[in-house]
Amino acid sequence: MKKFVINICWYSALLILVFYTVSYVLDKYINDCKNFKIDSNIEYIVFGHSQSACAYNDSLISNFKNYSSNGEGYFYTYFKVKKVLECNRDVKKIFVEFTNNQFSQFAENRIWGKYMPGLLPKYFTLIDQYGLFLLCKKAPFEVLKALYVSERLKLNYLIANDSNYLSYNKMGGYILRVGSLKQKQIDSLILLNNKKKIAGLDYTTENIDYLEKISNLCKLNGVKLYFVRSPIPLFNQYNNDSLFFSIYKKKFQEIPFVDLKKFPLKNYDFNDNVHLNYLGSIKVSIFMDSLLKSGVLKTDTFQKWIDNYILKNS
Amino acid sequence: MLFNSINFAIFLPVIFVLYWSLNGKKIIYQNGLLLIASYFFYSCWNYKFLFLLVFSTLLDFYSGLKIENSNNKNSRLFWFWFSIVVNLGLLAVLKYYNFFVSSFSELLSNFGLKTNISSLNIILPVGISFYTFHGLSYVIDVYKNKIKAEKNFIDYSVFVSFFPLLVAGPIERATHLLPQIKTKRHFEYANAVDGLRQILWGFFKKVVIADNCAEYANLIFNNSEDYSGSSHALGAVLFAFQIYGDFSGYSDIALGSARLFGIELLHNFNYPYFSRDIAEFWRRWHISLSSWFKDYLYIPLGGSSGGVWFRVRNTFIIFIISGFWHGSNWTFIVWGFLNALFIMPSIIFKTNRDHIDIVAKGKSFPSFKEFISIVSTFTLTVFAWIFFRAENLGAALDYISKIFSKSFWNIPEVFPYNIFVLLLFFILIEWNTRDSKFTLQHFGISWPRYSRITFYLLISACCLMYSGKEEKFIYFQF
Repeated sequence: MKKFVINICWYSALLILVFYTVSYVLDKYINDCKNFKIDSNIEYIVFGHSQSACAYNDSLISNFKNYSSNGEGYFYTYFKVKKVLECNRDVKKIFVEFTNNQFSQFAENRIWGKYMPGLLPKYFTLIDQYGLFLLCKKAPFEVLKALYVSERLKLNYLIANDSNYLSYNKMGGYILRVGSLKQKQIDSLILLNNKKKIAGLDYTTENIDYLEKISNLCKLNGVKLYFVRSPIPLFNQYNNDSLFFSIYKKKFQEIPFVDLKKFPLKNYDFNDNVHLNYLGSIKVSIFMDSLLKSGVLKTDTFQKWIDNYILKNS
Repeated sequence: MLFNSINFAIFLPVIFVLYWSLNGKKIIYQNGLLLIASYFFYSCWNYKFLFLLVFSTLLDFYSGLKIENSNNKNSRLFWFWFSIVVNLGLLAVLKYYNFFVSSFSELLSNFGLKTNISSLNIILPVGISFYTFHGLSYVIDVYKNKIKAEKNFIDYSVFVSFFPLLVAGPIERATHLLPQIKTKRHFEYANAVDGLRQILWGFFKKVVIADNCAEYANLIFNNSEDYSGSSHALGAVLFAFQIYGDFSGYSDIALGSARLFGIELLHNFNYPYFSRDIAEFWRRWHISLSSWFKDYLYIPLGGSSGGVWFRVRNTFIIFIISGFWHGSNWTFIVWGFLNALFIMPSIIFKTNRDHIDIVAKGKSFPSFKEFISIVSTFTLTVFAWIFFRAENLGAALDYISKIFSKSFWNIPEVFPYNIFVLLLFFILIEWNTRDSKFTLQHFGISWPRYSRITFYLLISACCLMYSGKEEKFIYFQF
């Protein structure tokens, strides 16, 4: 019995050693900056979750790239931004989706909650020990599972000799959604929304801490950071605006905030109660292109410029 | 608790160490620990259904005692039927009630009649088909005086609910398992290492083979209209490997885990896809269920003792019931019927025992005739699996019509090279070890120690890399 247990311990130790050696080699391969290079003409990058992923069709906006990903919290965005900036010194302007649903207790879903199995394996290789420690504190078993999936993903990239780790389906990209909201759906969504309004009393502090880290990282790298709030349907306006703006004023006041929440769109421009479909994204992307080209973002009056546009077109 | 979960990876070593630390003490302590562990294992799925397991155990334990202690024939018969009716009644209500109601309503609606019988909104308790069959076999054996009724409730409860076999078998017999439970077990190093090897290969089958095949099989079965005939054929083949990897993988983990506790469970799979005819396939696939039906249904019905039509009738009965045992859906009944149909030539011409030994024994390759027999048997099996996998009969027929369409000759839209490489590796290993009780029993044993350990590490690392998903086992639903 004793011999058996000792041999099992040896075997397990050996297995862990082999696993971590493989993991180390794969990490070296994946973390190479050549896997995170973006085209040299790209001036602006947007990061965020599915709202920004569906809103900005980067093929319609000059010198612009969308690296938003479904369900992504600021925790994962931070590590992605860090790597992108490290490997692309020419990038000097980034947008981060700054929206109300990141300011609720449900935002933890975007870090260690239900979205974690889809997100963590992709980002595992980029996350530092403090980030991993945080995740291990909250969901240790899920972290372990994600580690296994992550190694498999990396091995698949290696076998496929796929060099662009940033490309779509890995770390984000524009998501084209077809299908428009029908009145019947809107009615049921209004009912549902009334039941599940974001409380606005509590929020996941860790998510906001990592947004601050993004802000500090940009400062450190001399990168201009903008917050952007993508449009949502008029029937689904969030009710935690007071909390949202109080956090903004308290922690991020110096960061320019591009608010497109009330951008003039019809219900048929949306795929559901938060995401734009391709029709809506065309309108928003054309507007974004003109906003960037106008150079108004360099001034302090850009939101006035946007509000005027909204007023004229509402 | 799933075998392929982190919880089980903690649970098993903890129980193992506790169990063997009780080695010097009375056997009741070891059995008591196994019982507590088994109930805990079951409660992790849904503790509310534990009472059903305990009730079923109590019922059969008490019935067994009553049958044995009754001098009166009628009293024996009463307790025998009481146990059978209550056991099958519970199974019928919990597993088949909704099926009967919907089928009855459909039948009446064909005659323009409407019914108002509402269906039950209940969850099927995991493992109910398995532990019910454990109990039934015990009561029947006691009634037929094949065994003495068990007087120790803890020992009997361990027989019914021993955690490795609790939720998906193998379906044990009291004659085989109870004597082991009652005998003092001693730790044997070689046996425990053998158990670990079997667990390792079971994991490989489940997480590497089955779960990977499942990804593509599900894609094709669930989005049938998007794919050509060739992809459909590929989907069916992948499902065949999925279900084999899934269920035989489960059985290997169960047998290996039991062996860690010094208990040998019944052999459940014996390289079924190397069979040369359907009769051989059924001697190698889910052996514990096939032999259960043979002993408790086929032989009481008269078995093969009568004429040809008598044998044909009995064969159809057991295959259809076996299909129905799997689930309350017409697809399973058709699956059973098809298998009965495929086995008919062997039954009619009495060739069903032509292939007892493993194919090409002592040779590296099969003969051309054997190869053709293996491929044709596999093809028939894959065809029947389509019904097993499909949501309903309509979907199964659509799926088959797609295979037999012109688009069968198109290049498949799905062509997972990595899965083919894994399958090739898997088939080669299984082929080379087909005369062993389980794949890694002898494979690599004669290699130098370091090569052998490297091979095991490679398999273990593969299992780890593919284990993040924790997919359920197919047979948990039965």
